[in-house]
Amino acid sequence: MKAIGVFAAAALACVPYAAHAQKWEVGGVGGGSLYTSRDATLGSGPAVKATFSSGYAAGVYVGQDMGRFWGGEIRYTFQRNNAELSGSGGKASFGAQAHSIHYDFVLHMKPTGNRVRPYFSFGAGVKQYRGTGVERVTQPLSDYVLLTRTNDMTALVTAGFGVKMKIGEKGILRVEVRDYLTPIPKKIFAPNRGADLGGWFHSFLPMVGIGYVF
Amino acid sequence: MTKTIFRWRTGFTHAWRIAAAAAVYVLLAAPFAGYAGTVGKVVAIGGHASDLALDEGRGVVYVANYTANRIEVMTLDGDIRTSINVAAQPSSLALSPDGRFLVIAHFSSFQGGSAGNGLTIMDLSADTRQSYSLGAAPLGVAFGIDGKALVVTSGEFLLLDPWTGRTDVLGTVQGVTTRTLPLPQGNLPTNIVSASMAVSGDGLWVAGSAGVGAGSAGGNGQGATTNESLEFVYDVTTKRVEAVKWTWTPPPGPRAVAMNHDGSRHTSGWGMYDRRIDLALNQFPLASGRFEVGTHVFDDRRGLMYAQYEESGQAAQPASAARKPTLLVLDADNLAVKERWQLPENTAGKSVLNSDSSLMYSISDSGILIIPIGRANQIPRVVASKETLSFRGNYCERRVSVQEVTLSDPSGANVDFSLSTTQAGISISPAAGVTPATIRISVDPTAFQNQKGTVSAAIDVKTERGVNVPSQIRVLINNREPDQRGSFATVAGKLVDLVADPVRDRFYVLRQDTNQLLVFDGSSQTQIATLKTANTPTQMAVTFDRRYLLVGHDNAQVIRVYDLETLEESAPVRMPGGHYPRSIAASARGILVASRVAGPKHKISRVDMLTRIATEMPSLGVYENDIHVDTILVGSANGSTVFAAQADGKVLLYNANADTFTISRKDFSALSGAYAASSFDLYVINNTILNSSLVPVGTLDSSSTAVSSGYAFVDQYGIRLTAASQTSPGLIERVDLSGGRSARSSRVAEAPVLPESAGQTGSTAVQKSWSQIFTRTVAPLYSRKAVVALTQSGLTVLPWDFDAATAPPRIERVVNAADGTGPVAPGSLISIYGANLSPVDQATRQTPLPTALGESCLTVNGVPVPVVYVSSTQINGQMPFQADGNVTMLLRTPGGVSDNFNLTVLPTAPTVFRNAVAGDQRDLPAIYRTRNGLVVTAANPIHRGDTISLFLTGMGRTSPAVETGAPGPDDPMAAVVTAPRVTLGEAVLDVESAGLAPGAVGVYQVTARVPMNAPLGLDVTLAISQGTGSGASVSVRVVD
Repeated sequence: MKAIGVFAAAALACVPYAAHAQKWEVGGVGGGSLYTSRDATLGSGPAVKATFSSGYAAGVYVGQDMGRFWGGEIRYTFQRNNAELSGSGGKASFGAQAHSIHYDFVLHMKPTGNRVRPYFSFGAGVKQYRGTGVERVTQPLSDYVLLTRTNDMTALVTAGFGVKMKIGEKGILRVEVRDYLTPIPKKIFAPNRGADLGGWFHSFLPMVGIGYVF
Repeated sequence: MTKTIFRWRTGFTHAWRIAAAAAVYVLLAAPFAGYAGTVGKVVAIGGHASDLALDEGRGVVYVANYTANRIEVMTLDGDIRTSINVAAQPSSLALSPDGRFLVIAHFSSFQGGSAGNGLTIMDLSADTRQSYSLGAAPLGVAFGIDGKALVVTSGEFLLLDPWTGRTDVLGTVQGVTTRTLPLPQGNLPTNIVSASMAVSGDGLWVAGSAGVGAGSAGGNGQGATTNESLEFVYDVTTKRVEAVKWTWTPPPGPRAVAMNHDGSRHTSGWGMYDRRIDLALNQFPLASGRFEVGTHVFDDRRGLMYAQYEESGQAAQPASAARKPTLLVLDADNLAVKERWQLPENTAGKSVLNSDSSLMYSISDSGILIIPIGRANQIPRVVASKETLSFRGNYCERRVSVQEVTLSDPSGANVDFSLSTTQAGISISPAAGVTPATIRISVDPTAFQNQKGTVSAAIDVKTERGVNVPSQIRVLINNREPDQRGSFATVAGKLVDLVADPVRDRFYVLRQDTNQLLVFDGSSQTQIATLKTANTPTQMAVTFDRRYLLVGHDNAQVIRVYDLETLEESAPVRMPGGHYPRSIAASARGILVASRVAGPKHKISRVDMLTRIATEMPSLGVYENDIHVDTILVGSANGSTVFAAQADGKVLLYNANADTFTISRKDFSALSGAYAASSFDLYVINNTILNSSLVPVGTLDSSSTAVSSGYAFVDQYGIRLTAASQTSPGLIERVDLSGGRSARSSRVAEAPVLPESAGQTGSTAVQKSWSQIFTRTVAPLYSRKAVVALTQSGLTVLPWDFDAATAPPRIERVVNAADGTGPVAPGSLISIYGANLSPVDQATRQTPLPTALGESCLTVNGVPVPVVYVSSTQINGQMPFQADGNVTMLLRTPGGVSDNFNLTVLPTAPTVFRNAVAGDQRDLPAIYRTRNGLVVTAANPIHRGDTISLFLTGMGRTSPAVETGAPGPDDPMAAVVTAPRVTLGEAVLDVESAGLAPGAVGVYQVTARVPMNAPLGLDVTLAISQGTGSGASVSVRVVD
């Protein structure tokens, strides 16, 4: 959490330089949270899928227009998904959540002032995974991966697209899909002796948000 | 008991309402502190109380003062504020469920007329009363939940509506006779009215008892009792009365009836019955039948019953007598005595509990006795922590042996006590004091050096202030010789039968004093279950399909049935009325029961397991069904026959193929002792072998002093157990049946349970109702690994080949028991490996640990080693704290003495136990996270900042010092003298405590905090060391 705070302060510090005389937007988003899976292997045995279960996400953002088409926003996102292992005749689940802070550049397909503005976004930040499950003395598939109650900070790359629609003079309704891309949090999904687990998790967040422009 | 049944039915149905009575009062301690050492407050009423009714809504108790013609209105804490003058001789009263009406019956049958017999209905709300005359003397009155009162007179059962005063006749009463006044002096209302009634807690049932007959046949010398009674149950819902006439021996005293909450059970006199009233579930043992002494009442909330009754041989106990009247706290299921409380005076009739079961109101000699049963934990008592102390001297240890027992008061008060024994050689320190106290009992083996069996002594516990009658502490002392075989398993209490399961590695023992069936595992000889029996269990039998175990009783008219697969109780077998099933045997064709019968002849019955009903056999084949009261039955293993032996010398044989008794002979003047039936048509009774015609064909070898105790057939040979006396060694023999000759014999560590003579007087000077004439004390187990014997201190376990030549023991390796590695230290739990270490496998939970187990004893430099487990290849024990440096170990068994085994004992050798289990992971280091109390595993890793507990052995001496074999103390903890150093990688943990784990022998516990700089990883080395000595390390996972 300390690292998240440092990153958030740095990102906010950047905002004034890019936001001269532009309109600001604040709002919140919420929706689903879906993850891709990765295979954990142990010798020549069958692979076990490591992933997070389907869950939900919610977040807040502060954005601004930096020209007719370009904009930027800083966002905090919370995701609630259980860490899961499945395969080889077993299944394990462990409570988990994630906290992300990132800055995204937003390229609008329509200039400022249009009521409907499709957009693409991309950016980067940090994501902290937290194992929150109840520890027990045994865990299924623990020969492959140990699901652990701890914190794991990872780099975060985001990309997405969506559309903003004006509601009245100040309101904004947005619908979007984002991909949060991180390395596998190996403190949460800790490979056991001799096991191998690597790569990146994609986390897709279809969300709906409401903002206020000023 | 015999009976005749007559019934009445009516068709009335009624609704009713119940008023909840509020019990709002404060108990004061002082009013209930009767005389010193008694519990209960006596409220004298200046007359004789005949009945009472509790009115919690008004905070009062109504007491019928029979001789003063008053209703005393007493507050709930015992102050009589007012008295209501009523018509003559108020004998019974009842309060309506809504608390509005108090109905009083007047029993006033004076010579020359019965004008005084009647009812008074008092409307307590309107403060009015009405009186009604009755043509017959009223015996009792009780309200049902429908608001109508059942009035029982000497002629009729009446249903009274208190609103209108109308009575409806439910039925007529036959045979009840009443006393004609005036009576000779010394008669109390219980004798005069000769009736009592009680209502179930839900108000749906009323039970009662009324004297029947001339009233002159009393057996207690009062001249005012009868041996016959009319027992009735009234169903409030259906308005039906069922009545049974019983004949009792002794008379049905005390004159009190109690009913449980749902009316399924009630007690009357000295019996407990189910609702069908002709089934006696239990009886109060040894009851004298005295009417005017005693009471009983159910406490459904606690599953208890409180009762007082006079036992046979006891005189009436006035309050001033040295022996105070005693209230028994009983298990309501089988009347097993749990506690005895001394009362300031005798109870004398009905008792009731208040709504929260905190107070018991009883009619007593002076009037009313109020007993604060809900405050049992605040009543001063003296309770010993152990009921039996076993001193097992052995050839490794001849020193004075000391054991401790704690005396305490559950209320936490300081209660005086004194201890004494008449047995020389036993020292008690301190012999008097106040609770709590730890008493040291010392036994000097030299005082018992000529006793090679077990001496059983008693320590009397007395108290002046304590209200309970403390149980004696039994002290068992045994100084066996090396050739005396068998290992002890102390089982407290009076054990009366032993049966090995024919298809499972289990055996069953009947404990008669607590009405329990004890189930033991055959391989470990540890008790695995305790099941309740009915009162006074006498003998067991396993059904031929091996599914059920049947238990007979001397004070219950049922056979309890237990499912041997689930070890749960099954539906009982109902005996014919008045039949007490003392002995049971199963054959392939049927199950037979020999019963003591409350009648002129004792009988054999047959059990139908489908209906669970036993039926008296009309005859025993061509022989009359008339057996001696002390008759024992035993079935052959193949189910072909049932052998019966009677104390008067007669024997009988039931043939399953013929399905009848085929033989009856009388070749003996008397019989007792061991009994057995084989599958090869041979039978043993006492020292005689009988053939298939029950003709004596041989006599078992026996010295003139040997008393027959147990015999068991195994294949075509027998195992016989005898002893010269209770304090001598036992003698076990393998008998060749072809000639009745003992093939090989061995001395046993102690004598088996020996037969009693009929009517033998017990130590409490109370006449016994059942004597163990016949004994079954040896049981070869199904696994054929051991033979179990019922002996003086409980059980003695012998190896199956108890008579085989034994090789001397050989010690090959000594390691610490934590991880099986070499280093050991003073106080370490150790494992000794080798050959012929013990003839039997045995473990113990006894603390302090015994210095001999399973016929093996071990010394280190001559100091006995306490042991916890022995087998032929391994012994686990504790290295004495006195051991240090280079030492020599010796093992003694019946096979001889081992060669010297030399080893080095280090000052410290800490080793973490590898005995934790997590799922299918075994042998994990015994390290636990305090946060969740779970063992540390990869899935439950150590976190930085965690507090962890490690369990080890080998940490050496402690402060304060603890005796070898004794568990670690709790407060203060026995801390290790040499402080440990615990590290995780390079990080040093802060050790919060290190010492003997409380309650465990030889196990140390170290509690330490993990620093925030502890290294992370799947395999981090956790190391522990002491001083400059070697240490131990294990690998653990550490995470953030």
